[in-house]
Amino acid sequence: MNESIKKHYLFLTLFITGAAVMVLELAGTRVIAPIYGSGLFVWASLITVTLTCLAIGYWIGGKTADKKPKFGSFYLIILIGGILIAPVSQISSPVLKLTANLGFRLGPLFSAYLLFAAPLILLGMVSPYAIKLATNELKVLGSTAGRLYAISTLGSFIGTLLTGFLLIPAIGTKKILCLQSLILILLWIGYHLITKKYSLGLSSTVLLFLPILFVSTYFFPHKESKKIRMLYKSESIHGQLKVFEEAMERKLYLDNMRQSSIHMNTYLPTGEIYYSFELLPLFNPGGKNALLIGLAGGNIPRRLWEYGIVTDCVDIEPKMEYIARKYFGFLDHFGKIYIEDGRSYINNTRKKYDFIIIDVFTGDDIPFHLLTKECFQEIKNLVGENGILAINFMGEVYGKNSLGWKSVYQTLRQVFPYVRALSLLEGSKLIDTVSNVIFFASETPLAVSDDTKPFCRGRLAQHIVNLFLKCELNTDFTEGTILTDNYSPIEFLRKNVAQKIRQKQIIFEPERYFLE
Amino acid sequence: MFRLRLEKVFFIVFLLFYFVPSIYGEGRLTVPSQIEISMARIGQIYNFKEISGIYYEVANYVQDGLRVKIEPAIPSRERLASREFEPIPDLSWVRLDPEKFALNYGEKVPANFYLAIPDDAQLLGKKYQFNLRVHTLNYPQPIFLTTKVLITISETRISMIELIQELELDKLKFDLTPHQCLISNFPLGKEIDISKFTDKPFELSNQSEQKYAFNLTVSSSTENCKLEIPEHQRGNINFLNLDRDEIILEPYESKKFHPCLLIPDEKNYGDKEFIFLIRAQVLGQIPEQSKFSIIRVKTGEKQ
Repeated sequence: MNESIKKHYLFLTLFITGAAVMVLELAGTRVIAPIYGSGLFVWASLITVTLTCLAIGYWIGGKTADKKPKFGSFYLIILIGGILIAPVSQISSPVLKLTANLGFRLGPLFSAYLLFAAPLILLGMVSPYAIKLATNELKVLGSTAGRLYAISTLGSFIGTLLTGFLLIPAIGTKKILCLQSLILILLWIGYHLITKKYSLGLSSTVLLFLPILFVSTYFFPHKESKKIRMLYKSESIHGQLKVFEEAMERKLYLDNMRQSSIHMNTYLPTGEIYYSFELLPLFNPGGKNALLIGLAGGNIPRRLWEYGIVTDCVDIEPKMEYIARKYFGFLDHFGKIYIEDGRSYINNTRKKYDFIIIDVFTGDDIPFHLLTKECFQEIKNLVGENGILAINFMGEVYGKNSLGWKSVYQTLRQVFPYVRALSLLEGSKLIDTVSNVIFFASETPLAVSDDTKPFCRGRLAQHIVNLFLKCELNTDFTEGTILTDNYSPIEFLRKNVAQKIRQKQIIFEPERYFLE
Repeated sequence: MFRLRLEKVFFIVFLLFYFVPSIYGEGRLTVPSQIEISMARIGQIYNFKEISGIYYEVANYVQDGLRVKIEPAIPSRERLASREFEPIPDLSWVRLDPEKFALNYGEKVPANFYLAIPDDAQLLGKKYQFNLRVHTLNYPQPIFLTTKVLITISETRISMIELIQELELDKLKFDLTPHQCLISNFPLGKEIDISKFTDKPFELSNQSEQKYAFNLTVSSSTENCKLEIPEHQRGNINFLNLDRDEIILEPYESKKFHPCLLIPDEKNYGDKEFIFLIRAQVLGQIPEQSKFSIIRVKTGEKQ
């Protein structure tokens, strides 16, 4: 047996297992995100689980290596790690359901431990074990350990890049986990082939079917729901995208947060907020073009088209265009679609707009750079004197957690002399309840005739527009922070908005929420 | 004891089918013990029978000619179903139909009640309880029974699907006319606007409250058309041209279009009958929504 080949194979193994740790951590956040979101708690949970499991793995790995420093045992650890990763994609759903009652702090933490602790501990055992195997004499221990750690870290670096930038949006988490499991099993097989233990190596190839079996829809068919039909599911850089049909509605979700919904027969939007933006042509009947930041299903451009307004749409998520066109009937007549960051588009465009609408709140993340004084100033330059900025903001309307919308209001007032804030929760004084707050801001007064009937397109729009006009929030307050590019604590001011929305969905729509 | 969940389109009614019996002498009187109404909305009037599909039923197993009265009552705080609920603020929210009735032995009265929730934002998200008290009027020792009615008012003011249905906007309404036409003795070798051969012009109308874009095509497929066309009668789609392939229609707007037909002056097209289909389809919508105009053309003799 050529010791040099064995040594180089060990280096390759370290590189791959180093990558595997980071792949598992990154893919792990995507496994958990559809239920718990992709916020701070999910990331903190995955990092905590990874670090604690690696620590345990290093400790056990070192002790085991001292007792039995054998290559066979070393590759057995990797094989078991690979086998344990194989079922993660299938058991994740029941595990996440099980932990959903623990809340949004403990839930992701326990889920991550249950799903990833065992393979991560085994992968943690690899580095100290490899150092022991690669060290022939004590005087070169330092350089050997350094070299192996460098290789392993290089693997982690490549694994992070590949997973985050390429694999998650391209093939999705299930296939990544399958691939990872296959590669780790292949390391075991490869070791036996290079050490000429052909019978064990070749017979182990049967284990390769295990990860394939777990991603196979033949053995694990998608759960069908009588009430809900999933039309589309895809992983993207920004989360898991799903399109469902339920009763008479077609709905788009990003990491289980609703982005758009339409009536299936008529394609009438089924969220009241889409109609609230019809106040824009009522405030300024001369407006002919609009810019929408946050395309989703394209409900707002569809409604503005009713008024002859062409809407350019900007969305950072490349798959949104496909979804909007295919499942939500987005037509070229509505306007153009640009895949770009909203702020970047605002900075670079020379086009003037009558209306600019910001509708980018996924619930989990809030693009703070679109809600700052500087951004509003740039928008003001784009819309001109009679132009109007409209914002759809999600947050609590009343109580101590209502500082989010109040801060946006105060910031808008720094730039625009006329600002109106509307919410259908107005008057309820409900605390701990999340709702949409719609802002309109302009340099000219935002007035609308009492009789909206001649101006609204359709009875549905008229009903909702009238309802919104009755729901103007009291803005006679001094609370709130001026949000700037330098200081924008908006995520902290909104406090747990996403969790509250998710919690309600788990209670009221569990079948759809957990549908894979 | 079991709990039946009845879901209607807009809100949910739970009926606890544990009938509260009052055993008296040889017989008993029964009513449901608890009714839960969730997702109720402010500014709406709810008819219990309509939303649940069943009546509030009082069954008499006591005696013939039993007179019974039902009345709403505000529960005392100690008798609330749970701490989440408050007593209903005003009994005028509830109306019973009928309030009094007479029952023979073994008879059940299908009573009903209406619940009117005021259009007041302060009620959003609130939980209320009222009781329905059923008591006998002509029995020596009066029997009293109570049904707890628990109401949860939605945190949102409207249900869009409910509103769409209420306004009858849930169907996409458009039409392509004429639905069918027969053109006889069509001359070969001449391109002619076939509108000249029909009583009504070819027209696409949008009968909806929303603007739509439609795609107009001469179709070779009879899918969604419910028409079988024998192969030899199938018109060559290249013979029929439309003056436009897309029409945008505002709500309740109609637009005419002109199909022009040119059948070559060749022997095998003379004295034949052909069927052409014009299809109007809502642009970008799945599942496909389309309407057809069926055109039967009988050609004249080759010149």
